[in-house]
Parts: sequence; C-alpha cells; structure tokens
Amino acid sequence: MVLDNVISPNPSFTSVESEFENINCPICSKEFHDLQRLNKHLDTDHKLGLSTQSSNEITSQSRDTSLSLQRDSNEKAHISRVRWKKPSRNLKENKCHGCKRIMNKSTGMVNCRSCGELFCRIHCRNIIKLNLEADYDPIDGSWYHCCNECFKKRPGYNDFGQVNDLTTDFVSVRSSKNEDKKLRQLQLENRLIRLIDGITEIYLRNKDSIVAAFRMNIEISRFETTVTAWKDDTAVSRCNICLKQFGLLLRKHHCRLCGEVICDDGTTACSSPIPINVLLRTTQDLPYKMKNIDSLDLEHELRLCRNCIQIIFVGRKFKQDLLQKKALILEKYESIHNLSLVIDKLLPQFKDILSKIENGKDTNTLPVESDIRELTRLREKSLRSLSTYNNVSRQIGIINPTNGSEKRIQESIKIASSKYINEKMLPLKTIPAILNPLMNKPQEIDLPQTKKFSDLFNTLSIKEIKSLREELMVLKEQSFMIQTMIDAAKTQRKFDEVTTLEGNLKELHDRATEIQGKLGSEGFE
Amino acid sequence: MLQFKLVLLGDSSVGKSSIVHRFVKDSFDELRESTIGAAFLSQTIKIKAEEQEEDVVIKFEIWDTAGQERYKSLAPMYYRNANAALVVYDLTQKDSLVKARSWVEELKNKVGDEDLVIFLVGNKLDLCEGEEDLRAVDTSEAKAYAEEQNLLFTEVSAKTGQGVKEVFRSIGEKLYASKKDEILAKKNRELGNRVNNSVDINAQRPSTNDTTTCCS
Repeated sequence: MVLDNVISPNPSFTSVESEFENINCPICSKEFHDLQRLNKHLDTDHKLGLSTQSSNEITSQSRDTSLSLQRDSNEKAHISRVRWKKPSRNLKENKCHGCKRIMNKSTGMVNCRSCGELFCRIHCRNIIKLNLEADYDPIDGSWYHCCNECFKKRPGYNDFGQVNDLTTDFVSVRSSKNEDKKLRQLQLENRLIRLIDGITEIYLRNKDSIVAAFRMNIEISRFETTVTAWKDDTAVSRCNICLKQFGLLLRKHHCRLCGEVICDDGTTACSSPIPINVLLRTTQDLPYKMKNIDSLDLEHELRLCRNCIQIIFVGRKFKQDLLQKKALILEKYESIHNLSLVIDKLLPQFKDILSKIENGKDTNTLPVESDIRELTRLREKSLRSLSTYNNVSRQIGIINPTNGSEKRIQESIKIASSKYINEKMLPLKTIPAILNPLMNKPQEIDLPQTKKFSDLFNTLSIKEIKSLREELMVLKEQSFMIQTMIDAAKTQRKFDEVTTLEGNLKELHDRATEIQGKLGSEGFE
Repeated sequence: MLQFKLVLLGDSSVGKSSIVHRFVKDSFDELRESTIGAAFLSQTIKIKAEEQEEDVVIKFEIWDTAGQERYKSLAPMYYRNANAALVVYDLTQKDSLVKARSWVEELKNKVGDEDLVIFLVGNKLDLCEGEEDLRAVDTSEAKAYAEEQNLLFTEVSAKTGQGVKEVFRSIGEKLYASKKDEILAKKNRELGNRVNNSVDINAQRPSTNDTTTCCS
C-alpha cells in the first residue's frame, strides 16, 4: 500500500493521528477510523494501489514503520459494525428480519454483515464479498455472510448469477493499445508514401538514359535511408526477428520502413522484397502522388520486415475479408444466435408469470385470465422459437465443412446447441396444469433424435408443401395410367411401345421419390 | 425406320387429343373426355426422300399431354428429349393463343435442343367457315408470331381432318432433313463395309435409333 508515498513519511505523524482514531484522507478529506481503511480507500477509490502482489510486499516493509500499532492490536481487520442492529433485551422481540420468526438458540441470531439487520441462521447464509466499510466490493472485498436481500441487491445480480461488467475497463485498456498501434501504422504508412513517391520521382527523372539508370539505383538507395534512418548494423550480430546469427550465408538487410536489421531467410520469412507496384495495388487507399505506376516500367523492390508487413497489410486484408460473403455455417450460426436471444428473453417472463400464478394458488386466489393468456402466448412463442432453433442447428449439422476449422466450429455448435435445447425445453416440456387443455391445445413439439436426412432441410412454406403434394398426386395418377397402358400394350403385343412406356414409368417414379424426399415428413404415406 | 418423340402442348380443350386421334386412328369423337395426365400413341408414316429411291419410314411416339393446369408439372417430363412439339391453340378462343405463346416460351427456355421442331397449330378451322364464323384469332396474327419465333405454322381441323396429316408429314420431313446427314453417313459406312467383304456387327442390328427388336 502506498500510504508512505502519499502522506508524509514521518511515522510519528501518522501514529499520532491513529491514536485519535480519526484520520482524514489527504486527497478527499474523508474520515477514517484506522489506517488500514484509509489505505484501502486510497488504493481503490484513488487508484493509488499497485498490483496486489507488489502492494503486499510494500505492506510488509512499511508495517514496521507506519502500521506498527495496527499490527499488534488488529492482525485481521474487522468489518465495520456501524450498521449492526443490537438485539433487544426482550427476547420475544427478536424476530428474524427475513422470516419474522422469533429467534432463539436453535434458530441462531446473526447480523447481516452488509445491511446489519438481524436474521436467523437460515436466512443469513449467502456469502458475498464486502470491503471493510461493509459495502459490496467484488474485487478487493473478502467473503462475508449476508441476507438474501443484500445478496440480490448487488449490482449486476440476475437469475443466472452474478455479472460484473468489466467492459469499460477492457475498452480503456484496448483503446490505449490500439491508439499506439494506429500511431505506429500511420507512421509507417507515411514512410511508405514518401518512399514510393520519391522512388517514382527519381525513376521518372532518370528513365530516359541508360547511364542514368545505373546511377538511379544508387540514388534510390541513398534516398531510402533519408526516409527511414537505417540502424547501424556493425554492432548487430543477430537478426532482430528470428535471432539467427548473421554470417557469410545469412546476410544483413534493412527494413525500408522501420530500419531494423533483419535476415532474409526464406524459411522464417523475416523479410521479403516486395515490388513497388504490388505495394501500390494493395494500399490503394493511401494518398500517393502517382496512383498508377503500372504503366511505368518500374521494377524496383522494397525490402520490408515481417512486422511492418503485418502492421501495414494485415489490417487491410482483414477489412477485405470482412467484405466477402460469410460462410453458410456462420450465417446459420448467426440466426440461431439471434433465436437464442429471443428465447432467453421469453423464458424468464414465462417463469415469472408461472410463479405468480403458482403463488396465487397457495393463497387460494384464482389466477387472472389475462395472466393465463399471456402464459399460453409466451409458451407457444418459446416453443416455436425453440423448434426453429432446433431446425437450424440441425441444418448446421449437415453442412459439409470446407476446412478443418469449419469442422471444429460445426462440432462446437452441435454440442452447444443440443445442450441449449435440452436446457430450455425442460420448463416448457411440462405443460403447466393451470393451462387447461381447452385453452391450450397440447402442442406436439417434436424433437425426435433420429429423423430422415432429407427432413433436416424441411423449411418449406405451406404453399410449397401444398404444390409439391399436388404434384406428387399427379405423378402417382400418371404412373397408374402408364401402368395400365403397359399392360394394354403387352396384350396387344406392341412390345416397342412397352419399352418406351416403361422408360417413362421409371422417370415418373424417380421424380416421385425426389418430391417425396423434398417433402420429408410433410408427405403422405 | 426413324423414330421421333413428339409432344402435344396447349390449353385445355383446344383439341390436342382430337388431332392425335385424327392422325393415328383417323377418327373423331364429338364428346371426347378430357385427358388425364398424358396419353401415349404411336404412328408410322412414309415420306419421300429426294436422294433415296425407297420411301423413308418414320415412327412417331406421341405424348398427348393434358391441358389442365393441374397436370402442368408433368409436361417437362414429356417435352424433355422430344424431337418435335405441337403447340396447339383454339382458333375460336383468344386466350388459348396466349397460353400457346407461354408454352413456346417455356420450350425455348427449357429445351436446349436447337433441332427441336416447334409447330404452332390452330385447331377448329371448321368452326371458322360458313356463315357462323366463330374465329377469334386472325391467321395473320398467329402467322406473324410464328415467323418471329421461327416456328412452323398452320391451321387445321381435327373434325374434318383438314391439314392434320400435313402437319405430321412436314414435321417428319423437317426432322428427316436435319438428321439426314447422320443417316446417310451411316448408310454409306455400311455399304463401304460390305464392299470390303467384312462383317459389320452394326449391320446386323436394326438401323438408326430404334432400340426395339422383334423379341425385346
């Protein structure tokens, strides 16, 4: 803890203060009872704390000086008892704040460490993290017992458990890092623009004569060092990226953007020479003077190290990839994800109303009709969403993965979705007794594990199903007709006709099975 | 013998079945029931070929489809691989020509075969004669359309038989003309083989694409 750094390091000063039992925070002048609390306050509220480990080290050192008094009297800090309610003298009046029963030896009597109310043991069993001020502190607090109310009152508490939103912390860390990255990228991009502009200019100036062309290369390499200061390579003995020793076979090179000394080993790809026109083409968003040098006969290459290539081009490639069409599996996943959001929203509502009605049952009040209607509606909606979810997730299951990672994604989705369905189906499966069968026709939600392969893509609309059924019926009729024609032709000894007709019969049959497959479970027979 | 697949298409009750029956059985039934699905009939004709001394025998395998909307899904099965299509309309019904046009469209779109012979036929010519002229479609209008789409065109009467035989004859001639080169080439090869005094296995089999034999 950084107390020493903030207040005067004079130990006598602090110890005098602590004898008065009241210390003011040097920053916000808030009052504290002892040093340890002030320390905590400084650490958490004023963000002066170092990481836990280092602050412990400091503590152990500083205890000898500033906290010597505390160590003797107060080895383990106690949580504030300011809010604690004192039990009444009259034993009959000591009622549990939760269940209102009179507390005695067998029920026990405990103060909720958070709100200070008195509870029997059963109703003060939850544990949450509290700081010494008895306030909820999920990061630095220690575990204390508390009542149900305080347990549920915590910010971020919901039915699924505790949610601590650390997004803002994360975003701030990320944004500072991203800022650095962007600055670096901007710097490198500026260098790249200057390099390319300069080189094209030199080229244009010299391209007409052969003698000048020879001089041009020298001029270009001299120019390159003016844009980026090349690192002095005499002291460098290893490649900056792969750390391999330079030697006769592994020569030193300079990255034209960052100036680092790197090797050109093909296996590690620490650096690679990239033709200028390739560079231009891939970074067309940058403001070059000469946008189109493809027409020029410029074959100069710039050697860039792996890191610079990464910084300049990977982001661009990523953006381009985002523009491309998403894989089928991801599209489908998105739709089941959206469905799961809907279901997650519906189910708590359903449960709320259900418990409301069930509670009403205990007190013998009849459920309100609007509640029942709402319950029915929610249940049907959730069931529908779940069955769609089920359908889509099974569609994902039979997509042919194009590569290994897609296959892994597919496996994961399969496991996760089946778990999800089982989990969410449970409360819906048991039709609440309150929903009488007249109001809610028992809905058949079918989740059979083994269905025909072709069924999985059965997402036909009712209209399509109708027309397919119609077609199937026509086909069956026609097959029957052809069969009778075949029989007739046979009796008339017209065997050439029989062959033609049989060919057609087979065609009809094939088409019928095709439609049958499309219809899947929606077909007849 | 040459064998061709021929399909009849058109709106319901324009007289497709009547035309076929006139051609195959040379009969006419005033009270014909509407076709169910598609009926199959076959008929052979002889046509004169210029280069050959003997007549060429052509066998038509005719698929007479039902015009009712309900059976529309069957049609692709029958016009697929067809050598010729008779698109029939009723001279006394304006709508039937619209339907015929849509059939022509479908044929052109779905059948990739360049050699497919499409014959636009206006039926019930007998009703357009005499005092009680029921004609609703002008000859010129249909003819212009046929020329634009490169179709063969005529007006017939299944009742009187006027023009029916000619329809099939011209189809046969047209098909023969387009297949003639293949056939002649084959024949010449057979002749050549015979001169060489060797046995040609193909020569033992019935000619062209006739898959049937006497005891198949």
